[in-house]
Amino acid sequence: MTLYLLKRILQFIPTLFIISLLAFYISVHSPGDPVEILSQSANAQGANASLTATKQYKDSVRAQLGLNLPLFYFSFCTRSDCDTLHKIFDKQERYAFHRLSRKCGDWQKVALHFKNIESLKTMYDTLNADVIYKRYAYIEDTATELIPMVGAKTTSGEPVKYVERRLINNTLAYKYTLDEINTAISIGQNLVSALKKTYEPIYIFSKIDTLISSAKKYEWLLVQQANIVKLNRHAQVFTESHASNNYIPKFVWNGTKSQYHVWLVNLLQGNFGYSYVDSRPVAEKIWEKFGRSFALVFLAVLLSYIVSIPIGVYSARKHGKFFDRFSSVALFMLYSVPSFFFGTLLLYLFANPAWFAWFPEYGYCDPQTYDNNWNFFERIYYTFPYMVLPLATYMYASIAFLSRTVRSATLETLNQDYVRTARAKGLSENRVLWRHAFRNALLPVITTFVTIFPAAVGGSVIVETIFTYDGMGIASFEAIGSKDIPMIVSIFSLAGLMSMIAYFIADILYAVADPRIVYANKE
Amino acid sequence: MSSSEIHTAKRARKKLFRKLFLKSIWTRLSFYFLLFTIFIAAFAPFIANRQPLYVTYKGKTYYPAWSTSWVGQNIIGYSKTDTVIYNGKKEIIQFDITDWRKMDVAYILWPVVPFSPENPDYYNRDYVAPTDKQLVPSPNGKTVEATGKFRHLLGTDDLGRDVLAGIIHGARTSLTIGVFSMLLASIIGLTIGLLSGYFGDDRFKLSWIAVVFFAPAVVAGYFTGFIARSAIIAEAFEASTLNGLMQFVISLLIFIGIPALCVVLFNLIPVKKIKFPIDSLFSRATEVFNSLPKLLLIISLSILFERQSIWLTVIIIGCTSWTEIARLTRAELLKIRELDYIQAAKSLGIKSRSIMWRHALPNAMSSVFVTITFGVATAILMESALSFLGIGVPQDAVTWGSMLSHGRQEMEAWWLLLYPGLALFLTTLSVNLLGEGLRDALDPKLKGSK
Repeated sequence: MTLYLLKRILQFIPTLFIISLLAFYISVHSPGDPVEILSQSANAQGANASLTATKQYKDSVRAQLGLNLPLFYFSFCTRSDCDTLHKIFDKQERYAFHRLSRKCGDWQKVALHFKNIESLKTMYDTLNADVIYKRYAYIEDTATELIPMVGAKTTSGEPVKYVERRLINNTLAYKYTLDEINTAISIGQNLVSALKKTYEPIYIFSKIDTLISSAKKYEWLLVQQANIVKLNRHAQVFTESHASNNYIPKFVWNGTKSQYHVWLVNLLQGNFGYSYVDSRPVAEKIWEKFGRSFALVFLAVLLSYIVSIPIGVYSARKHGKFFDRFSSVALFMLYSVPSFFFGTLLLYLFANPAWFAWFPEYGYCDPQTYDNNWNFFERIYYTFPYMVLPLATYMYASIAFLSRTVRSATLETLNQDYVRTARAKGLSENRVLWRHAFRNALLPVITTFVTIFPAAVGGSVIVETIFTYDGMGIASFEAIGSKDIPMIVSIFSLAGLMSMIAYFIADILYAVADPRIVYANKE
Repeated sequence: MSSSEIHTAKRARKKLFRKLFLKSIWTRLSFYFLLFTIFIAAFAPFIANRQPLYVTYKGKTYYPAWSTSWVGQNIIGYSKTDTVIYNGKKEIIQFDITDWRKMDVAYILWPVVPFSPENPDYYNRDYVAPTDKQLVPSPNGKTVEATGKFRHLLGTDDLGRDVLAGIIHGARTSLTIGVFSMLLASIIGLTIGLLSGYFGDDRFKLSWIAVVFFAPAVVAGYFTGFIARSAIIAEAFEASTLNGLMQFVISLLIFIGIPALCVVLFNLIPVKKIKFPIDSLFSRATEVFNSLPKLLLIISLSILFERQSIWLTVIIIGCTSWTEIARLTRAELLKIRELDYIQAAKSLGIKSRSIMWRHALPNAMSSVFVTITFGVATAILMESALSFLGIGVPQDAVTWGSMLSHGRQEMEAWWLLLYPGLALFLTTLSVNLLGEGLRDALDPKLKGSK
């Protein structure tokens, strides 16, 4: 037995590893960039600065979170893929790079293309509207000086040439306001940054065409012309593809410099990481909410057992009688009511001034009277009103399910020979029912009982959402929504651990409840 | 046994089944209720639609409900707009935005409910109760109090969307997701349960070369199916969800096909055969899968796809609810494979594939079928729960769950809470009752238990 249980505990490790991997994979691939989410919240707090400052800030955050590392111990990709793709921070740019390299089958050409775009971008960034404007102002001044002289005789007696006159007029026509120059530059910048996120060759060429035409329109952009031509020339490779490279595998070993490794090492040192949303330690955050959810789930399951075991056993005893038939129908109907409908209905009836405002509408305690130094009983006293409705919602479904389980299991044992023998011995009906029949019907009851452990981690999303009861359910829902990877992975792993502990406890309880179960021979 | 005898036996069995199945009044009632719901779901656009079914306007005849709701743009010789010239005046009718209630029509035939679920009724906004005064525009340009057909019988929501129309169209989403996701779940669950139950750990024998090459073949299948084709799948998903799903299925077939082909080919090599622990493999995988919090998994998978659609929800729910079916199929087959008639078939030299499909599986189906039926109810509840949380189906789609979540936000609007909830309750109740009746009919021994 001990050996078997030890074996079970050892099996936890690979299972947990796989679960954490799965959670990691899912959260990394979900849309949205955690750094963007973080900087958005920073911007909302008033930390708005110029573009470059924001970029620097983002990069530092990225390095801090370890997001500049490759994902896993190894990368498995195709020959056309770039193996250092994780160095491109912007998710859309990275995606565009990936798609383009798949299209032309050679990531180096795409890298060249991106380099061209980058140099063009730097040139656009260095264009200074003020300087250009001053140059035009100077030309304008010279032209206005020159125009009166056109047609007049110079000292040597020759008239200013017709060509010169046209030049001056043209120069005057090229007069731009500061706003126009600014707009032109920002249009160019936008086009270039859009080019970084484009991966359809048609759109790439159309964007390059727009760049060329704008460079033709503003002659001070002519310096860019060479760069744009270069860009255009290099982009031509996207029309010819080497798709065969897409089917040649490439294996890159990243070693311990990977996001997953960093996370795992931290975890083994007892550090679950820090939440992306509010930078609080994940362990602290989970612990605080886990307590609330566990209290809810534990109480709910305990109470439903107290209610449903008598109902189930009694209706099994009165099989076919009125009580049995009535309770079966009632429980069956109860079982089919969706929990969020039931919960909302309760809320409508008992937390609504129009009907009965007996219970608070949302939350887990009154923030005004809340005191951190409450002792255990005070805590229960103050938070209990908030728990009644969630408890009821949680309980009704378990009561329906449990009573049905208990009833059918007891019914099965009541037909067994040993029960008949017990009756024949002259034992009292109660003793037969509880000591002989029910004890043998305990197994399904145990199976259901242990589900409270995993349920405390992530099972009560709906109940908590309805009543805004701030526990694990809401926390995990929010974590998934805001792509809070450390939170998500921790929650999933914790839930996995909990369900394995639940199976483990169930195994022990089975053996306690039914001494015939011996694990030694198994496997 | 001659063929006519077999037919008679089959007919007799069918008759017995029907007798047992429809014996209980509850099963019968729920069966008819479900038929009714399926009918409503199938013909929803012709039962609740803001476009009339048939209209005669200034000498011309139209069928707007057909051209806008069902076919979308064009049915033969039919376009989105039409030009009417009457008394020298030219008028362009645009079917998707025309409010026919304002039109001066000669003859008009409305659907039973003259509202569409997504279209706001500007005259009855801000939670109009079923009993409140309701308004309707009339052809003479005035707004009058609504009577009869144009009343919102079950009220409206904040935008003025009709609750009854929402319930009728919501039945469509619910049933589609319930039935199709369980179909997918049964395919996965039956396959896994069948393989691990029938073969167990000892009966699936492979040449050792095939066993050695199995893991590399899985890696190769994953590479060709998903890594090499990732861009193709992404491109297809950008074009449309259906396209993307098709490419995804192709990838999946490649992923399964390469290892399968590899095993079949290497098995032909005449070397020593060893036992392949197919049951342990699947059991371990199922255990890991069961350790994941299911609802959280479904939520994260729904968020993974940026575009929300009913079919993605079907796949996500289907791919996460197969474990119960697999467990039951496995347990049944472990029992069945030891039975005499399987041994007899084996000794007759029938191939194991044929035994599996034609002899073992049909006998396991009865109890599995009951589980699938209960699974439909669970899937319907899951979909509504997802809509209630605001994920899964598209944001603007009206489903029972999304209506309930509206009702949660606006407590005064009890009709937004009660009616969709009742619809959901009655549907799940009848599916569950049907499952119960099915179990009693298929396995009379179990009657009354559970």
